[in-house]
Amino acid sequence: MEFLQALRERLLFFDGAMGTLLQEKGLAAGDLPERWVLAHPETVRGVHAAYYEAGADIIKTCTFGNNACKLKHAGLSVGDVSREAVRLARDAVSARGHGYVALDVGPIGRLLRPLGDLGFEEAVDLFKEHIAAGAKNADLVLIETMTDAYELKAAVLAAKESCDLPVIATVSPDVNSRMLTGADMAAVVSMLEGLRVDALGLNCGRGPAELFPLLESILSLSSIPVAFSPNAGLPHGTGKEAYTLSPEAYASHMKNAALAGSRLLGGCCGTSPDYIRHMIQACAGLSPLPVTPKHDTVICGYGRAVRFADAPVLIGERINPTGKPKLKAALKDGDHALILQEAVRQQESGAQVLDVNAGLPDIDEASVLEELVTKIQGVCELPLQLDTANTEALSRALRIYNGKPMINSVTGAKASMDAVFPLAKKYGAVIVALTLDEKGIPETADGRFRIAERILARAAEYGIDKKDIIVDALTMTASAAPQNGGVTLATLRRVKTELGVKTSLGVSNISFGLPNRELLNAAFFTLAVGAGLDAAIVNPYSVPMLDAFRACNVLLGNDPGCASYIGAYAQSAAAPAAIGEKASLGECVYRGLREEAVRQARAHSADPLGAIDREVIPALDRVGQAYEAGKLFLPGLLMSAEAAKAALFELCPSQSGGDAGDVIVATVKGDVHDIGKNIAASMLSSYRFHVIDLGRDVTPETILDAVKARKAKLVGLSALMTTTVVSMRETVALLKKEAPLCRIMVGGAVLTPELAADMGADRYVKDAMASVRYAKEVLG
Amino acid sequence: MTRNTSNETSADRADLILALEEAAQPCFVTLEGDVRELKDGIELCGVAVRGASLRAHLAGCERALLFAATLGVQVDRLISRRAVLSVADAYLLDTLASEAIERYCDEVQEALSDRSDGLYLRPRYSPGYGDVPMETSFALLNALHAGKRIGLCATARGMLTPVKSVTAFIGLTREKQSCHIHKCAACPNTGCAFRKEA
Repeated sequence: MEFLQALRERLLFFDGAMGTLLQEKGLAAGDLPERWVLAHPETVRGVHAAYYEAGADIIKTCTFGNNACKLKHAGLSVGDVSREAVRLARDAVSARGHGYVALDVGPIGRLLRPLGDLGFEEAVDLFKEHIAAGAKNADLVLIETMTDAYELKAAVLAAKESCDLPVIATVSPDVNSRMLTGADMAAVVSMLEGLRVDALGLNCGRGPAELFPLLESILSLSSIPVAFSPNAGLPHGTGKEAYTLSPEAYASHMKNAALAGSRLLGGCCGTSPDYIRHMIQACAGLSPLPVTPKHDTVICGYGRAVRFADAPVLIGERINPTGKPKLKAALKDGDHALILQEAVRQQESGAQVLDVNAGLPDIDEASVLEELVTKIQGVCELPLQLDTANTEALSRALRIYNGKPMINSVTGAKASMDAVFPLAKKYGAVIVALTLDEKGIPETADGRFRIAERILARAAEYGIDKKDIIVDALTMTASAAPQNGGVTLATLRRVKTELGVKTSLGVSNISFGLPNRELLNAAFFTLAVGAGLDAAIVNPYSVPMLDAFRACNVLLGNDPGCASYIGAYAQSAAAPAAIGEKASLGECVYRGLREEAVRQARAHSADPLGAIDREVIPALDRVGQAYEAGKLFLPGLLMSAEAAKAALFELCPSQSGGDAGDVIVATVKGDVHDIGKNIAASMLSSYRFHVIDLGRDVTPETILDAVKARKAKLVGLSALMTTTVVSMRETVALLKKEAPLCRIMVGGAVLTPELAADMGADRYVKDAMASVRYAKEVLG
Repeated sequence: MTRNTSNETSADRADLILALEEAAQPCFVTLEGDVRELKDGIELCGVAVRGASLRAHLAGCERALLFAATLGVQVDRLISRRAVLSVADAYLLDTLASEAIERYCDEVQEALSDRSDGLYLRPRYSPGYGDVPMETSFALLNALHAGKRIGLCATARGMLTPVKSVTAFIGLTREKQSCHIHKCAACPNTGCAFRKEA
């Protein structure tokens, strides 16, 4: 019987631990079970056979750590291990005449970017090397013990792109019921279902009793079968692995798991054939509970999931170049600091999702959107709404996205649906469906409703559930025609009640061409929420909008105890902090008072350049001198730099990017410690150098490309450790060869002037002020 | 003009400490084993370390611990996130976090020293000290299953991720000469700029 058929019909049982049994047979600490596949095949086959005799339906191959990263020190071939391990498991299954071989896939053992240095596609390829070699003779792929949702996504994509086998994915959350990298269970379930795995669940970590509440939570979220393979209780004692539960106690917990609805049961660390035998006996005669579809609309980034439920979800609209010259320039320049600031500020203002649009006529939108998504997900856990009409850009952004995103948008036009739905089906996403098609936007609610119906029908043909479609009834400008607001609201009501889908609106369109737009936007938002609006694309910095949002939540009962409302307004009567004697702009910069420096800068609007020369720069110089004399410490220096930057932004917004010359800075490949580089970048930009910060863990080639593209005259490199100085040396060598006119300054904890000279760098800079001095020397 | 930022900085600092406490998920793993003398180094729980300095540090120890601890990825994320709006904040957080992981390790080590077998703990000795290569972290993390158990990994160049993490060897000795708190007093590098007299 096909595996999936069997999964539909009855409870299925995995085997138990492999490592625990191999240790009993002599596997030493630090030795690799994968080595035993090739060196001691009879022992591995013996473990499989013992589990089979215990009654297991599914035998896991001995390939948990089978990836090139883990095997490279042992001199083993991943492909050889995969093939041989599957053969050993297949032998055991064939001897019995029934059962299934699960190709076991465990974590790589390195963190993905931006937390670590492993690229997403590198991770996909590492998984593929193993899966492609082992899939041929296996019945299913089991991805297990995952602690990072992003790595899990890489593994699922690798499985889907390497074979047609069913895929099961199980995770090992921490004691806070989250993945080690932050995702909660609702996020994991939504992402895995979006990636179309065949079953999901939990394994390892703790025992069945400790994991049971989490199992119940996953059962309440999942629309697909749930697997459960805990450890044999909690570890106790030191030295040899030993666990608290007896086989009998384990079996009785596992029977409860089956009664709660888990359909795939097995064992992890500390279990043995005895545990599996008792578990199967305890579950004898039980029929599996039916799998019930869940209807929640859920998206996520790398952290908590966002559910479209009672209160409307606010989607921040600020990361969009339309009508924003500064953002446009930043996108064209590849200067993403401003965009990251918008991301963090919108979140702090109350946005729950961020729309990300990089659509400009003369940029490579696909590359830019991919890079923006990666960078924003380095600093902000909010789910993103990928806003693009470019299929290539959408495809690439969906692929590297960490979590389950929103897509903005699909329309009722055939070409749009043909482009978007296959991508959404592959990667998983909630799609905003605009109620327009080839013929344009219908003027009536009925016309828009019919388009929504058609989009849902077409999505269903792709297997995309209506819970993953959010209908946008389209906001048209109120000043253009008096009925516009009403048609939108009428469409919204009908879509919601008759089609049973969630709804979204781009609210701000309503007020084009009219004064006091924020008032109209907030009023329209309030009316739409009354009509059942579930999500709104808004400006989260708009006070009237946030006021309306909080008030609506109180009035519709979505703010328990009015806590958010009280939190926002109880203090609002308090006066702003009193400012004592009035300080000059220079003094504010010197003292590192950012807010006050901005206020003072406003008074200099008549002569901004004079203010920079007479106030800001001299103050910075004095701060720098005080720092170098040891009278002032680094935090003070940085606060002054930030006050100076804020003042410069106020005085000369057009030149806030810096006009004193380009400086490219980067922390070298393999190095993820970037605080020193950030400090130098901050100081340089306060001195009006235009800093292009390439980030951390940057390859020599990327740095060279940036130098060539900008014809940069100065590069600053940082490295923290002796091991990453190697990368710095490679980078310097490449730059000296390919861009000999560019000067290179280097810094970092382990560097010395001698080491810098030895690798061919032009200057060793001991701290941020030294980098400013060298930049003045080269560019001044 | 005097520079008086004490009010602003103290307010910021409380906020940063709170943010750090919220983000930190400190955890550790250990593995105990016999110290095996090799021709040119030592081996502990399958981790072989060539060279003289760890061997000297563990002189007289029959047994020892592999040790790894981390504040978790959320601290790295917090620092990156704050750096977007204020490098001063990020710098302070970075410093506070470095202090926090050291303090956590000291606390853990204090707890680990409560043993019934009469063995005392020596100070932590980490890859990168003396002639112990940074790359030793790979074998150490592997033997501890630190990736799976506490999410602690290393980059290709042997740098720990999350960044605010520690890996170390801790010797177990019968004499109460160990000083896991007064680390500096036990260190032969008397010229070190960071030396603290106990």
